[in-house]
Amino acid sequence: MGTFIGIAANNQTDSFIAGQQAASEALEHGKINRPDFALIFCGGKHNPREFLRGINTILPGVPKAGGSSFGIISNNLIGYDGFEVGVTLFQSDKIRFEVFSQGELNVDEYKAGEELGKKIKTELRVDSRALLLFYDSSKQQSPPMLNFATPLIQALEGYVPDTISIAGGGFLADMMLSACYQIVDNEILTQHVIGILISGECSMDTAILHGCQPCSDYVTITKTHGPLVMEIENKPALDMIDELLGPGHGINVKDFAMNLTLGVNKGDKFSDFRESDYANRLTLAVDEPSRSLVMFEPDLQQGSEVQLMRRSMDPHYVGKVIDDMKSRLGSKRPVLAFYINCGGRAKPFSGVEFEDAEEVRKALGEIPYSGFYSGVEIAKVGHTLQPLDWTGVMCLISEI
Amino acid sequence: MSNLEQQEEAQKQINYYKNRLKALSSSLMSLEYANANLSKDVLQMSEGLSVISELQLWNTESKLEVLLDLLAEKINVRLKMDVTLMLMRVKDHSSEYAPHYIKSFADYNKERALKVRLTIPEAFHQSSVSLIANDDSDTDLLVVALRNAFELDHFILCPVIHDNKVFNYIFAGRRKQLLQSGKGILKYHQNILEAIGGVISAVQNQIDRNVILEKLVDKRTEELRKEKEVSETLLLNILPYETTQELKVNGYVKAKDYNIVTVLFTDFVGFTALSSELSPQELVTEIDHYYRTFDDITHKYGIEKIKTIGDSYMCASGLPVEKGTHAEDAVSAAIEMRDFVEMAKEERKKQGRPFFEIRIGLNSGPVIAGIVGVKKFSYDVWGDTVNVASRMESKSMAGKINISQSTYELVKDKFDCSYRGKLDAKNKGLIDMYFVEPRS
Repeated sequence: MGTFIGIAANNQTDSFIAGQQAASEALEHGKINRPDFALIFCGGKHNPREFLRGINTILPGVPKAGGSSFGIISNNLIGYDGFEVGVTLFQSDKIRFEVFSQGELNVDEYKAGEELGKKIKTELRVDSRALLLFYDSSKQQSPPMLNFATPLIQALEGYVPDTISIAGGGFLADMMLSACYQIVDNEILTQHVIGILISGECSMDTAILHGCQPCSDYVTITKTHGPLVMEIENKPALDMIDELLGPGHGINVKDFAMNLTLGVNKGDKFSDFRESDYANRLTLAVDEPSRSLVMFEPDLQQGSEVQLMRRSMDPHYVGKVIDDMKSRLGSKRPVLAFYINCGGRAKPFSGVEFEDAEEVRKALGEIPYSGFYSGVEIAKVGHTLQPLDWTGVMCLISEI
Repeated sequence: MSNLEQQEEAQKQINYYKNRLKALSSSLMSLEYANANLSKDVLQMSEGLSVISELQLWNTESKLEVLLDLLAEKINVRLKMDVTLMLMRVKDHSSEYAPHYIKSFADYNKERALKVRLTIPEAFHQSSVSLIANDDSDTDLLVVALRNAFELDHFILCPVIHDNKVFNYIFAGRRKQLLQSGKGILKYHQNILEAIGGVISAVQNQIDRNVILEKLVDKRTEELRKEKEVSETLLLNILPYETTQELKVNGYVKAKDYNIVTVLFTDFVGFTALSSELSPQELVTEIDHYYRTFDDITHKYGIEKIKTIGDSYMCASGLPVEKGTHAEDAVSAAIEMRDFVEMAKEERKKQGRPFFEIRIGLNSGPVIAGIVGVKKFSYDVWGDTVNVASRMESKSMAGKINISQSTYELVKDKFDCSYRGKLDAKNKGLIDMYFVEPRS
């Protein structure tokens, strides 16, 4: 029989109808009569309970995983207005999905990662191939804070062997860090991390897309505090950025937030540029009194070498990455291209002239395509699993 | 050149190119940041303009409530607002406004917002300008009232101008963004909302025109109804109701056989002599006076007036709807007609004025009734029964009601009838005749 994939998305503003319609259309689009598993996502302006209730009128009893998303990506709809929903349905006698979850992410990310890792480890089989990792990005406290993926991943890596391909993303409801939800079967959760273990006659190849290129010398971070990069080359971080940009650059310091990107080269420092070697770290905010940069994650440490990155105004890099992935498939049959893309890369927020998720769709051709817009992305850069910013993570699931 | 000098020269070149690269990168980054900000604004502007262009695709059937609901939804989604609503005046001439058509995100307390009643200061109302609020520290009373009412940090209040007056206000707002350096509400939002306001005004214009048109249509319909009523009344004067219905449905009326009806004729005695004493106008007025009363009497007894021929009034009882009391009703009507004429005669005698006397004849029997011809048609009855009834009238006497044997048989138990014997009727030979009077 093989694998059937049904994908549907819409932007109905009624949460119940949105869920019901997406589930129904996913069944129809995939010609699915015995759904085995569903990935479900709804925009931050939706009521997740009503959305799930709508889904369950069509898919009662079907195992499900998903949650809030900043936007939805599919063959037919790419949107981020807050009302998009997406359903990806699987029916397969080759690929299995098992869902694990762990709460209290807001209390201790490392512990949550450890507990999730333990649960996954006990269920690992010889044919376990991949792990999709989703988590709540927003701590829901005042003042708002992010849950960090860095300790979560550090803890989890101890329980999951290198042979398992891992990718994921942090859920984000909107740019206001509003309440964010995770869905596991019929439960609506918050402050949870979800692991979807993918097993069977399959594989999951991943690639990162950001299109950014270094545009400065290597500089060394000399002082940090959690996600704060306080000093670079022993100078206040903002002063050093001013220096790197050159005198009279004219960029308002407030505009560094969600724009200024530092790149960490995980490959050979002085060999030719390779996009896949670079981990992008985006500036969340600036702390002007301390002349510091506030990063999304606390992984940049004293001694980290970084470069200032500039965004590509040319969409061609997308096609190159996807074509490269496809060429490495060999005899494997791709069944789903699942794209986890940074919300900041959506066209209205990125400042680039093209919609990268649309460019991905064009490059994929006939391969079924779905995904969501995230807060933070997770993928391997070089051999290191790490949180990423302003990055798209392509997960190509194939039958082998 | 020594090695040291060569190294120094190489380092100089490296520094030169590094500085050039830095300068180029700097200008490139500046351009990219500027471009990023610009393209974000342009994209949002085009989203806003698309709301306006999509308006032409909406089928609202010019229903304002449908349009306002759709607009609120589109503004909220496409302009990436968090809350959009229409502030409508609570009552005419009041400065109090209430929110309607609220569109918001899932957690927004819509019920609370719906209870809000806002007073728009008269000075602001009269100014007909939009209000944009992005600054938390703005202490303007209206800004503070709106911020507290709808719990938003950035918002716009845009008046919809219709007929040179504020028709309603569009309110749209955003929460404070944490992950993007959101600029809140910008001037182009105002331009778009004002353009949308123009569309609302245009629809309201259409509605106003429709109201005027509907009133005209109602007026014309009423006129037509009255005209139809007049036509039908006129038709009913000419034809029996049942016959008019048959005519409407079929376009023609089939002549119908009646087994037995009672036909009544009246005639004014001495009409010709009196005609010479009165002017034609006076004569017609006189006859009209009597015939109006006869019409009332026949209507009262459900008798069908057939026609008048000069001073003769002809009617028939028992058609077009057959009835068992046709003879009795006809005789009762005849007595009332006769009594009315007699009463008038007595009064006029006293006044010394000329007067009429009447003789009446009735006969009962089969007839055929219907319409013939297509122009100035009228309902009529035919048959020997009609001829005999006419003979009964001509053989009657002034102030008397003469009935035939067949009528006598039908009314003899209810009226006093006196046999007159067999009298000669023109072309009919000797016929039994009776005078009839009310039971004494």
